[in-house]
Amino acid sequence: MQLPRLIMALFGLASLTCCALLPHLADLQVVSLAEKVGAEASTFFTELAARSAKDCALSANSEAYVHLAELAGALKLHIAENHGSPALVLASDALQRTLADARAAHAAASAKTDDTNGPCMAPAAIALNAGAIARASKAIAATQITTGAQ
Amino acid sequence: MSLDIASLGSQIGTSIVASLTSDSGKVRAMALAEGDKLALSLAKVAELLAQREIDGEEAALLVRVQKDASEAVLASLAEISRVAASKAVMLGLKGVAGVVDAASGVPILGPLFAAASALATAPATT
Repeated sequence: MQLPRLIMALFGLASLTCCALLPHLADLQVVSLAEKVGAEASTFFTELAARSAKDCALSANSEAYVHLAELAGALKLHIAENHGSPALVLASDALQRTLADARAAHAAASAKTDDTNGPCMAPAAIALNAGAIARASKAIAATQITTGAQ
Repeated sequence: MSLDIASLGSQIGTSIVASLTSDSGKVRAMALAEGDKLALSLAKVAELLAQREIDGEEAALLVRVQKDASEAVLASLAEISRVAASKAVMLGLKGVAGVVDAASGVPILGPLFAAASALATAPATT
């Protein structure tokens, strides 16, 4: 390969790489929203585990799920509008589904009052859901912390 | 000044491979850790079902919650891998920027890295 062609090739590659790096700068809004989902879910599930009937039933806690869903929706919207990455959109969509299914599990538990937990979720089930939302939200925040360290 | 193109190609390639190996190893470890967490969660759901703490419907929903969370984690790891690939190419070029710029007599690659560095340290837009 002749020198001018090599330089042109390197220049083109470098230009593409620089452009590709632009969307990879840390997006603090993604970090903030993802961490907020994780922190508020953690607080909610910790308090939920300490509640007894009727305060533990879904009907008494539905607003918390709505609030968490709104936060996750804001995160997904922000990612969709500001990032071109299908992987990041998929991750935020999966976080939304995690929250929706956690609510559905709570609804199923509250619908059955003839078991040992009455309308409450089993504490271990609450812990499982709390852990799932924590690791999903942490992973999304970590994409920005990792990509920002250049 | 002439360029040793074979040496240059080798240097770029080595930098890219070294960087990717480092990043992919970290991503691989994180993926394996997520697999362990998913397995532990599924075992816990099975245990709760066996103890009649939950019924089949709730167990199925709890499994879905865990599956959703693992999808979020693995998609996030895919994002990290994608960015790692871009960074690896950048590092490969950075290693030869001085040689190429000196050989061409015009700073071609250097200013690009300076611009990228300035962007990386600028506050992120929200």
